[in-house]
Amino acid sequence: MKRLLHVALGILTSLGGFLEIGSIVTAMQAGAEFGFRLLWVVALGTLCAISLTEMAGRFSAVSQRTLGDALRERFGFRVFALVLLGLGFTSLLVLGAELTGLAIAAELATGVSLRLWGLPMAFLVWLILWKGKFGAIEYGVAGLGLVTLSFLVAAFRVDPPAAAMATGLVPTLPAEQGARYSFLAVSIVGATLTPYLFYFYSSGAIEDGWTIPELRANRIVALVGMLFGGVLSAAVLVVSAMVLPDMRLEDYTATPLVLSRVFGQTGFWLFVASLGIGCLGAVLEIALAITYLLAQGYNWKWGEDLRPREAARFVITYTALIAVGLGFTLAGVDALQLTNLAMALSSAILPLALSPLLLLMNDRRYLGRYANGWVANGFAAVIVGLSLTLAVVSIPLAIAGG
Amino acid sequence: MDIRRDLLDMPLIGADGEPMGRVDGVIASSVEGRPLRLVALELGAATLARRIHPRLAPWTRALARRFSPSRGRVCRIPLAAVRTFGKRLRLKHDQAAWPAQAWERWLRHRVVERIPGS
Repeated sequence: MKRLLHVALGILTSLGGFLEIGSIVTAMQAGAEFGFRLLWVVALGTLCAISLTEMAGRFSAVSQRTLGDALRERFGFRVFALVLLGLGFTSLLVLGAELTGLAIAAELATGVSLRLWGLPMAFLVWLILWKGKFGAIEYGVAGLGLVTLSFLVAAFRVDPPAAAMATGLVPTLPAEQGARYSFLAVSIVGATLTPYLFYFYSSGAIEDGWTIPELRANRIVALVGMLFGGVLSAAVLVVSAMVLPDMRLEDYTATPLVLSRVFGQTGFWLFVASLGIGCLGAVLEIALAITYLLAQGYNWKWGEDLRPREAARFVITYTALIAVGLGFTLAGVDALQLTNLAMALSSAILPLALSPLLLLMNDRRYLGRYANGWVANGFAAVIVGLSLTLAVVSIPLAIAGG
Repeated sequence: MDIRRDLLDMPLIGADGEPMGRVDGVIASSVEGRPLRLVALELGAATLARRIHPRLAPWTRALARRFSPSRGRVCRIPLAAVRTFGKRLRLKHDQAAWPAQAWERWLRHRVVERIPGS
């Protein structure tokens, strides 16, 4: 019974943390500009996300090590420093985008400029981390995140043609606007396979005390949670394709249209709540994920359940990260451009962030008989191929199509 | 024992069970005609910087001397101070006062403890 509860909560967590400014914006742009034609990218990204999440959880449950620990122990300081720098830089951009998304939600709700909302929102995030326990944060955000289900309800309301959606699941290249199409494809993968996510999930497995008996729960959480997240992203894309056809999203003030054209004024508020809660969850996750990675790599005392004075470097690190993220909001960087750039960079960094995980999953010194089998390694091969392609094309595409 | 596999980058645990950083480098003594003999473990930013590139080490040391609360003192642990080797290196003594914990102490006393609710 307790384990069942654990599974349910884990699924909620991935639900709450999945839909944030990155996936909302990229899915909206994809649906509005290309109809259902990019649905296959959401599906492919989700499959990879399921597989990688399962691996990250399995690794930590079996080896009792976080990915950060193993990264340094197995590959040495140079590789650790490289991953830390690459992942840290990218994640800071994403953090900036998510914090801006949170401020945008506040601006949409109140009419007060997002630049004025930046500081109070950053303080709110900091206060939650300073005061909160890991479980409370995880489940609190997840529970509130259920509001994002309104996208799914909207997708049923707009009654999309099933045949057209099915063709969207087959990869095709459009006759024109190929660069823009490919750029959005890359951004969607970046938003779905956000690289910090797996490091966060692995730390969460240790914070929650997972061991080998939790492996089954881990499989279910990874599968159902990520699948549901993917379905939500697909729902955003489908609704946008139906209600915002041929619209080029230039300005964030237009984003609530996706739900207000379906539910009227209620839809506007549902969108604001979804965006705010999704972004809040993402900011908390990113700030913690990077802090975890640093603390594990240097073997500081770490843990969100400790009192701040017991883990001084830990709390100072997340404080500094939030401060840098706030810099983006205050500087008035264009939110949509920042989001697109952050998602493209997330794609570019995938080989660096994921190859250590995939190598570790085949290391029997850590995993014994729980190392990757041929199915998981098949997925791993697809992921490596995909991520290498993305790494090569994402930056040129960001220039050509962004 | 394989230095790269069993020592370098492994986590250190104090006598009180607290995490105490990782093995950033090792010190070995060489006498001609004999195999290298491991003497001590080393911790610190300059040791790590040397592993990225030897040129970085003096700069890091100069920076640490100016700005670090440890004043750039090198933290060296004799091998004899290690109680058990393995996936974690357990130390015989509580090492909360050593230089590798200087930032933790400084941040705790000067910053974190001054914020309400710490």
